[in-house]
This record gives sequence, C-alpha cells and structure tokens, in this order.
Amino acid sequence: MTGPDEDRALEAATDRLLSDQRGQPAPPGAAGDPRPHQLAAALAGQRPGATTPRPAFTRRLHRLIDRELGGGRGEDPAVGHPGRGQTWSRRQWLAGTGVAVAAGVSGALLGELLPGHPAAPTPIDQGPLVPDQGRWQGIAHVEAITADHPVPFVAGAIAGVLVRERGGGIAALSAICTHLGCRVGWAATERVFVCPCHGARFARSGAYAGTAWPGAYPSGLPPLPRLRSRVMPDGEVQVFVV
Amino acid sequence: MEAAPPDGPAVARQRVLAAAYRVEAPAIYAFIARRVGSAADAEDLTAEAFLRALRGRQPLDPERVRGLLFTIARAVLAEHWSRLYSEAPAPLDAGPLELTDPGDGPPEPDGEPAAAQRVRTLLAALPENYRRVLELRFLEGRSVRDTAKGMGIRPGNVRVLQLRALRRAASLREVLP
Repeated sequence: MTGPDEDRALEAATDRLLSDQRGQPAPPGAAGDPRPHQLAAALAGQRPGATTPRPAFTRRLHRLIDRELGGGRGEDPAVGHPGRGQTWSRRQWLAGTGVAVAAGVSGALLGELLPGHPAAPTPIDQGPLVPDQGRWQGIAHVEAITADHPVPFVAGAIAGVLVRERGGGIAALSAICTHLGCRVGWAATERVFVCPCHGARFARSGAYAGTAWPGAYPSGLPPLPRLRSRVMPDGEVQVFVV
Repeated sequence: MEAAPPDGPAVARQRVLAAAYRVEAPAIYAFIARRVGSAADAEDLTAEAFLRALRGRQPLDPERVRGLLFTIARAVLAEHWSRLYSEAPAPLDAGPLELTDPGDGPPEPDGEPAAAQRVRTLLAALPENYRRVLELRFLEGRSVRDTAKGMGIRPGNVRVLQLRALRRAASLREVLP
C-alpha cells in the first residue's frame, strides 16, 4: 500500500523530472518504492533528444577532464576561435605533431594516440628537410600493418599512418585532421581514426566518418590526404616524405 | 627514498582515458540519460563517472575502457537512486527493463533499441487511459493542462491517473518478459 506522503513524493519527483531539475531525496518517511520514479525516468529517457548531450555540457565535461588531467588551462579548444584569446594558435594546431608539446601536460595527454595502439608513433630519423625534393623512407614491414592495427609514423615533416585497406592493400594517410590540424589516433573498438581535439572520425580509407558530437561538422570534412607509398619486394613499406 | 616514476600506472591510465573519452562520452551520457530521464541528472552523473574513472589508480588496458566506463556508470546510477531513496532496491537497471549491456561491441548508432522496445511493450500492456497519460506526460512531455485537454478529463484527474499508471507500470515491469 502507498500512503498520501508517498504519492506526494512521487508527484514531486516526476514534476522535477519533467521540468528537467535534479532529483532530490524524498522526505523522511515518504521515500517508499523507487520503482515508479525509475520507471518515469526511463519513460522520460525515451523523449526525442533525451540522450543527446547539450553542447554546453560537452564543453564543460571537456574542461573538467582537462583540469583533472592537470592541465589547469580550463580552456576548451573546441569553443574558442583561433587568434582570439586562444591558448593554442592556429599555427600550433597546424604544426600537428607539435601540438602536444605546445600545449603542455594536458595537451600532451589529450593529444596522445587513442587506444588500441601498441605504442607511440615510431620515431624515424628525420634527416634534412628539403621541401622540393622528397625521398622514400622505409616505415614498417607490410605484415605489421593489419586492419586492426594501423601503424603511425612521423617522418620528416609528415605525420602519417599506414593502413590495411578493405581490399587488403596498404595505403599511407596523413594523420593530421582536416579540420584544424590535430593529430588523429586510432580507436580500436570502433575501428576509426578519431581526432582528439574535436572528435572528428575518419574511416580506414581516410574518408570522413562523422563525429561523436552531433552537429559538429554539418557539411562534413575533407578526407585524410593520401601519401605516396610503396611496398618493396622484401615487404618494407616506404612512404615518400619531404 | 626514491621519487615516484614520472610515468606511473595512474598517468598511463589517464592517457588511455583522455584519448578515449570523446569517443565514449556520448554513449555513456545516453546510457545514463535513458535511466535518469533528466538532462540535469544525466550531466552530473556522466561527469561523476568520468572523474571516478580518471581517479582510479589501476593500470587500464585501452581495449577495456568502454567496459570500465559502463561498469562505473552503472555504479554511479545505483548510488544516485540510493541517494534519492535511502534503501532503494536494485535500480531499474537490474530488472527486465534492463537494456542491453553494450559490452565491448560497437555502439549502436540509434542507442539501445532494446530500451525503446521495452518501453513500448510495457505501455502496450497497460490499460488505455494509463498508457495514454504516460505517453502524453513522459514521452511527449506535455503539461498537465495539455494532457487533460487531450484526454478530455480534468487536470486533477491527470495527476491521479499518472500516479496510478506509474505504479501499475512499475509492478508490471516485474512480470513482463
């Protein structure tokens, strides 16, 4: 049996729920059975849009996590405009691999490669940078590159990633997001590249594949550019770097 | 006494979570929002879940981030209901309305279809006026006045009907498949 106190408590709880206020503990003695309230919550959770986070919250969560990681900037690169009080300049974004260093600790953490990667990108002896005159640089053995494990690399001025394509071939992609130049990482569970800065995703083919944050790129993004690559007879995959 | 290593398990864990959070946050938010119903609570609990994950000290395998986050989200939800109802039994989560555990599989783009299906099954099992009041008030978010107009009854009756419908539905939840 339920009493009038419990009825009043449940009614107050559903009113708060429907007006999008935080739930509050029921008054003493009126707590009763939580299940009708839980049921009301499950129903309200089916409202259109109920499961899409508000943009202000996604920014707040980013700042919170950033602070927790020790950055302390409390600045969300997603909300600012380059050149207007932004901590990271557009130049730094475009520097790609330099981003993590430029951004300090938290930037370094947020800029890390996504899960599923065996290790940090393979550092390659950079040699002299000659813009007009590239060279073929050996990166990895062809068998090290699987559909589940793309191989990231930094060679010369290029941050890229070697992928096993759907047809089984090998391709080299730029690892620099075509939005603002952060370096993408591989999300093993979803098998996509994800940009740590604003969440853009790219398929193994390099094609833009949406974002975890609805509405972020209404007109999409260009694909990750392809780099020239070749597989040598001994299985070494080389990329043409500048 | 030696200084702590600069890159201990906690830092490695933070790296893993920092890299994963943008991918996982929408699914965690949706998982929680489906169970608390209001954005205000869903936001608080989502933030709580991520902070708790970040403050852990155990090493974390990147492949297991998603599972860990859902486990934490479930714990945070259970605590939420315990806070509201000091001796809350199992949260909705544990009953037949429990919606699929996303586990390690790829996330479903439309969320958990099972959740919507359960709600439809439950509503279909209710008497017509109970079903209607819940649809109008909760699924469509209409006011008491609107609901009364839509159902041709007095506003005071909407409130009574709504309470009865919620209690009936909560009891049905136990018996439905």
